Amino acid sequence: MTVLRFDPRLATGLILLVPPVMLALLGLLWLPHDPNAMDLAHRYAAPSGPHPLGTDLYGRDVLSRVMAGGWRSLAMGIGGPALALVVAVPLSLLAALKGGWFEQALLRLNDAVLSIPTLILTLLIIVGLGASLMNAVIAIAVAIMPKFLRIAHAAATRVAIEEFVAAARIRGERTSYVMFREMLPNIMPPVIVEGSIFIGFSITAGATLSYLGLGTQPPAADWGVMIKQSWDSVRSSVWPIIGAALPIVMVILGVNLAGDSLQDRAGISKEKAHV
Amino acid sequence: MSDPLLDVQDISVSFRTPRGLHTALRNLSLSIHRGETVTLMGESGSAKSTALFTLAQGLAANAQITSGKVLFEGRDLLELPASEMREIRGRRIAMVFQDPTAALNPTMTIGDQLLDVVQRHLRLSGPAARRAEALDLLQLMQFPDPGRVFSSYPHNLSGGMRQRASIALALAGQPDLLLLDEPTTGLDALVQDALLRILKELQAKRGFAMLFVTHDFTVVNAVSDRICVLYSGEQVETGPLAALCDIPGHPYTSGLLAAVPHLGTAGLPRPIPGQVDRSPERFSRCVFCTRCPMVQDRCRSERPDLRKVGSREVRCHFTDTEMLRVPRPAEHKTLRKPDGSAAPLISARGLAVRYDRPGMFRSRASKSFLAVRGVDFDIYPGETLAIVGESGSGKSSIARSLMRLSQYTSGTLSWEGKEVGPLGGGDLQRFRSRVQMVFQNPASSLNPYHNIGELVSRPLVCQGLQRSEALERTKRMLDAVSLSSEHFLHRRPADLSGGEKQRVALARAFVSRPDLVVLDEPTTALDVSIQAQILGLLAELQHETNCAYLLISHDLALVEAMSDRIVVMRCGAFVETGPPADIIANPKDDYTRELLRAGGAVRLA
Repeated sequence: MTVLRFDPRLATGLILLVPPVMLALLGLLWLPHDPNAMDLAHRYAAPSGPHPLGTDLYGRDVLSRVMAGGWRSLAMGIGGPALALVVAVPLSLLAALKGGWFEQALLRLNDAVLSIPTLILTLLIIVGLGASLMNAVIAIAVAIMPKFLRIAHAAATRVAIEEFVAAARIRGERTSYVMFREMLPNIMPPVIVEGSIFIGFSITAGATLSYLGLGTQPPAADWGVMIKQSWDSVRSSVWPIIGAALPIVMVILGVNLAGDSLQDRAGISKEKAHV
Repeated sequence: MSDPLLDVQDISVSFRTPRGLHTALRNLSLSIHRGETVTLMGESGSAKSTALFTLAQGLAANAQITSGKVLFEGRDLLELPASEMREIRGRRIAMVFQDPTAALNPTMTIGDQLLDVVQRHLRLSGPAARRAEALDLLQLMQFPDPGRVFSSYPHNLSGGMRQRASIALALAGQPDLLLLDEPTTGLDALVQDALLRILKELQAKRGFAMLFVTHDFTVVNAVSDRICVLYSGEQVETGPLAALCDIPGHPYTSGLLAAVPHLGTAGLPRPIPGQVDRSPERFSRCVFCTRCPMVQDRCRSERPDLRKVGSREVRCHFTDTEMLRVPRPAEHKTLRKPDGSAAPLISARGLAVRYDRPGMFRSRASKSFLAVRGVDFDIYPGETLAIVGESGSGKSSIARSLMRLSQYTSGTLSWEGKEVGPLGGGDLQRFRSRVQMVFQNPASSLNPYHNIGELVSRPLVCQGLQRSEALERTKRMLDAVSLSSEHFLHRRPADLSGGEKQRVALARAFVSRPDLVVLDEPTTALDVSIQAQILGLLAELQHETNCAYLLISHDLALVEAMSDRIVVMRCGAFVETGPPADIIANPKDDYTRELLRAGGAVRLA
């Protein structure tokens, strides 16, 4: 077991990540106010006791909206990469193991999709599927999948030539065993690290889609929608935008820092660390 | 005796780690004179590379030299300012590294890299003179076409040629002292032999001294004037080559000599029991006391001094040389004589393996490579058949075809009368349980994410055995290879030493009670003293189960100790075959003769 040294990047990353994620999770169970309750008498209120983050252009409590909508932003930000991973990893393992035309075809198809700029790709998919949270998750997943596949495949080809994989084939293990039990643990470290960085990208993509009205549909809230709705009224109150943008920034920074730190300690080394 | 060129006085090196100061090397004293070759010999953990890097001033940032001086022509290198050290490096002291691919700049031609050094360190009249000097150097390294090498990039050259180029680079500054860190690792026997010969010739011509670091006795024998034996960071013996090999002064040296297979001596090499002691307390007593056959109480509590014994220095409490004669190799356990009249387990006729270039489109026939060119052989129950050859000879391709990892392209390869290629269903199941393989590198043949219990029991589970029974047999197998099952069952490979990992690989191969085990260089990646342990274990397992071995190796001495029959292979074809005694006493083919010569028997009393 490697000695866990105090890593300031990992610690900072986690410190940044925990509040927004906790708020979003808490928001599934309890909210200080009804996020859709309008109070036109108290629009653009500054932060105060009952409204720690103030109110927005319709008098709705910003904090409640941040908490209520958080899960949607996280769904896009984490669900997107997760979906991409679940599809990309088995494909790349199979390709690395089988090789031949299957591998070549997959890689070239992958290259083709990679060549389309990511945001444009997500927009095209949404236009095709229709605007909704679910479709946004799918669009983000499809846009990220080629990048995942590239990384997973590179790691998989390195593992495929290891002698323990040959040993498994010699004793007649099923292909699924070789892929998931022999190869998968060995490619997870780089995949997880890259995945954590893709989370940051996906949060931004999700917020962008919602901002453009192509993701979460109002009156449902998520952080992107909140930014869109409060953009024009920023001179009246800056708090609605801060309330929505701050968790986005914190999640992205936190995930990038943690991912960086994971990169340095990824994986089980094959040799005992010689002092 | 003239003053030494390099005088290492009482050097100790420690490393700063998160867990504290870790002593790697203690009190090394060594002198090298002009024109002589000294070898630092040791196994892994001996700190021989640390010693070398201390001299080259190339230690890691967390290294601390806690005592001693390194006097080069009277000046202490450790005290020199960086500017003066730069003058010395390359011009007076040069280094050759273990991996030439890492030592050569991949973006520059060999010629340019040579010119770099020549320009930096030699005062020559102009570009023409420098170029002539560089070409001259390549000529000296006996390249058949120096001009071509001059304009080649490192990736255009083979491994052996790259190492020659990096030696040329080291010699370009005309140094007085050459430091070499295992320069022939990974090179074939004949390539290694040629390289070492060239070095000795150049040394005679140019008069530089050499400090070799190696664990390979063949190298030691080929180049050394004097040897310094290191064990776990302690200098245990230093002396002239002949004296050390005839009558070793230290029990470790004699143990090492007994653990190496020697050409021309029958019987298994004798292992040194146990493992290297790496605990920090080892320096307050004799480092070798945990494994020494002559250990007394005094050894466990008092660190011996380095004392002069004749022409040698020995760090041992007892210098009674009579007790240290190298013990004769162990008698080969009486095997049940392989039954020649029984049907062969494996039969090959006209076996050929062709590799095509990988890719989507079939390449032209001329681009494919014939690795095995129509060979015939049989393997009988209970016997050990060895295939000896260098890399590229095709020996691994035969193993891979037999194990069905790659397809043989023509000829027949049959097991119990059935063709191996198209085996299916129940036959295939039985084949898999009866024919097993042990790979060369224990670090990569065991999945680092699986525990030992799973690794060893997997073959049984694949054959349909119940978990509980598989576990039972696994435990018994682990005990049979001297890995106590309670302790090792749940460990992962990273917790094990190289020797222990290879034992796990053996357990995995034998757990299904095979008739034939293919051993692909089973001890090459291991330390010398551990190699002998594994060979002993292999002999024992064969004795108990009467299984046959197909032993693939480049090491003729090892093969002689272990086999009933040898096949010498070269460029895809069998060159010579017969019992070891015949082949070694009366080689019929020139290639076999060269291999025997390059194998370099170590002298024994």
